[in-house]
Amino acid sequence: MVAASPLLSVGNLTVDYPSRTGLIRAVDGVSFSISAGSVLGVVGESGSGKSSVGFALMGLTDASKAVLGGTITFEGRDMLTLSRSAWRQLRGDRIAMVFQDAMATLNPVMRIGDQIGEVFRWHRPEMSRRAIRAACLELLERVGIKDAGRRIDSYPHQLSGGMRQRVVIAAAIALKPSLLIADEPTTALDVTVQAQILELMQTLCREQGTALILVSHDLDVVSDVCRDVVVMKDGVVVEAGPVDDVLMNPQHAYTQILLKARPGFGSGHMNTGAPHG
Amino acid sequence: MTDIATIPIGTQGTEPAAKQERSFLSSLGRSAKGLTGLFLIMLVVACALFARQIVPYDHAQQVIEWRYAPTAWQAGGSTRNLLGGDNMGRDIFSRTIMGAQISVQVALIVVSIALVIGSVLGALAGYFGGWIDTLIMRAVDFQLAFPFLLLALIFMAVLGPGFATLVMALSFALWINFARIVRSETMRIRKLDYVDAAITMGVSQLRIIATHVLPNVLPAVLVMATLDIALVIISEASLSFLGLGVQPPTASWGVMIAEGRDFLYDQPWIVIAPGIAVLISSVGINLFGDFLRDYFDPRLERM
Amino acid sequence: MADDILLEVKGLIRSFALSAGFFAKPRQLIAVNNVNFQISRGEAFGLVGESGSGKSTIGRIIARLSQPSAGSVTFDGTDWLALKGKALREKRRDVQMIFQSPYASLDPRWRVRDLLAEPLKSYTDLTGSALTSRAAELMEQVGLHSGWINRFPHQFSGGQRQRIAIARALASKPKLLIADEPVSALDVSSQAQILQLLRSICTEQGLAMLFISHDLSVVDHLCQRVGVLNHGILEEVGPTGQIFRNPQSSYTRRLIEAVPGKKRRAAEGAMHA
Repeated sequence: MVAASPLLSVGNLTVDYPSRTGLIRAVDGVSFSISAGSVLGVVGESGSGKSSVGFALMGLTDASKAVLGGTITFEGRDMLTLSRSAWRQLRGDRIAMVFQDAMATLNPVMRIGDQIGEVFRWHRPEMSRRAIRAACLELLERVGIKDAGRRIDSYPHQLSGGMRQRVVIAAAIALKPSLLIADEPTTALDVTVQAQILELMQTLCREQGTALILVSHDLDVVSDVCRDVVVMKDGVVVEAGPVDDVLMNPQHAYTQILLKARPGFGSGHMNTGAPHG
Repeated sequence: MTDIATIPIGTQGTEPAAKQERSFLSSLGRSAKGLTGLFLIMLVVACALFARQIVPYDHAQQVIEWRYAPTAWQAGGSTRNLLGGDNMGRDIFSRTIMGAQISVQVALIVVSIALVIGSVLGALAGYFGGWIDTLIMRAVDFQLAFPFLLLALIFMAVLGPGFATLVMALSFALWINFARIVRSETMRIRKLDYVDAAITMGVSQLRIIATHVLPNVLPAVLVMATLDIALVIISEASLSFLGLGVQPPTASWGVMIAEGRDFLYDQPWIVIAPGIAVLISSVGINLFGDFLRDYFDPRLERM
Repeated sequence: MADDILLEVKGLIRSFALSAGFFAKPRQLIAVNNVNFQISRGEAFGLVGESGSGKSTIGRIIARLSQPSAGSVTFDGTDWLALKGKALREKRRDVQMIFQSPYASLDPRWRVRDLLAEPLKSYTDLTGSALTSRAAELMEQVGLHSGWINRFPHQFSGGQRQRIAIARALASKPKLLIADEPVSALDVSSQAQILQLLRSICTEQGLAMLFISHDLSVVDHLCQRVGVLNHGILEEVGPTGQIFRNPQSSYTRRLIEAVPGKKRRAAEGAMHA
């Protein structure tokens, strides 16, 4: 490949969590890369280590005292040798993350406008309060919140689950990051809302040239949104490649099981008839 | 065609991991807090159980030469009265050991009564809600409006001081602790699916409370009980100190401290021995209660 | 064939009073709004809808865990909502429920044997070793090893726990099984096994099932008939194939449009064309 070096490349990543009986390896030698503006899916069941990968990319493993190994190269920089403050500068600015539970991500006693504004106050201290408010309003409109002028002063509990996730997305894309990591962003949402949120994330990323890593247990969601996919099981990548190849011609037995496990909607013609008996 | 019918149902999956949860005893063995607490408790309980065998003299025996006798390690002291003698010429060591009996008795009786009454009322209030809940919780609120000592005074005024009154007053003061904790735990458990499942299986409400609710409330109640035992021992001492509890010449730590307080400056050992006894019991029970709380807390890893 | 109808729900309404603040008048939230449907003997009936559609409320009313504000439920020829006390407890054996989370529906302090014995004690005269061997039989029936009967729920995986919950629901030999999102708390790979187990049990035992789910794909595979709920209103009811292939209401169309996996369906379609 002659193309420029990828936006992010992960090489032989390991994540170990300390426990009383020693280190527990959650991620065991995972490698993948993502080029600028593209969409990658990371699929796996609970315990596959997919979320740990997301946390490692965000540098959010400090709290759990996890030990990282391997390499993470982002925009040409080796992230694992980065100082904590340098990483904090990158986080929210160049890399942003959206989690499953918007209610837990948002501060319940802070107006949503102020929460989005925090990103600017932290990373763009030169911006005036007025400019920040204007930017927040624009963001809320961009993520499709109707009546943004009124909603900007709402508290999280006054919004529906879908709206809250839109607010979280607004805060995540505020500084036009080059990489957005979304960890099960729609799992807690209804199907119709899920479709809207996925559509929104795709549109925003396309418009801003933001690359997206979608971490999910749902192969169907990933296949709709992503170009490439990484299938994880027990901390290792069992299969990786373009979505079309993996779906049409799964090589690994585990991928085949995952595909079989989800009945494709619309293929259940055996039930079209009247009730039996 | 991917169809779920192609997946065999017979798959038993992997053998369930025989996760070895650390047993109670082995957890206790690794907890300095728990072991220290248990040791101190055993010490007090042993004193109470074998009081008659341990004491060199009767607790009420007065000997004129023993008056104000200093402790064995002080100048003028002798091993005859290990912890010295009090103002009436009684052996402080014997009285302190006998006091353990009173304290342990009061603590166990009071906490048992409060636990049973409080848990049953709390479970009824939490499970059924409605007017039962309102009635029981208003009683709790009403009682909370009165300071504990005032309540105890009312009991003493009506029934006269004594062991039975002391037990009643303390039980009456403590049942609300159990009622409140059991009620809130019951309300939480009441909403869990396994209670609904039991209802659909035709299990009667009282049986559900007995088999599903109370066993799951038990850890919280046990922790509460240990902490309350310490509270009762201290309260018994306070009430007896005020002359409202156990009456002299019965040896109770509270009575001993009350009687010794006039001699605090010149013969401090009269107060120090029962004081340390109260301290040992409450520290021991609190340490053990802390350990129990950690042990039962499902959020803490127990591997 | 009227005698083929096992369950008939007519004009079911459930409303809640919402307090809108200290001084405001409480508002009425209508969770279930005039719902009518029937389930035949041995039929798997799907109830689909999003959160807040009232689908779980309907399930709980039929399981007699919740009271409706109005409406009638006729089950097996009896006025189901009129049953009370001991008569109700006795009749509950005919309608058993499987809950969403097998982590919450199994008492963590009970061994599997005791969990399975609970309904057996209510509905049979079995005691002692007969009780244990019946419990072991139930374990085998749901594809679990009968030797695991003395273990605690936490020693099992999520899928295995849901099997235990299913075994417990089968213990009283019910006529109707209510499954409320029985696989949505499970990992993808064990979902299919649980669904397949439910399907084969219902077929073998001629058991009717009310299958409540947000997942159209699963309902499509499992149920002969389906009802689509939207904010308490039953938008349409009919044979699954007909509803999903030729939806009449715009809400159903929107719901179908939102189901993920379009790309995969297109790919699979191309493969078969």
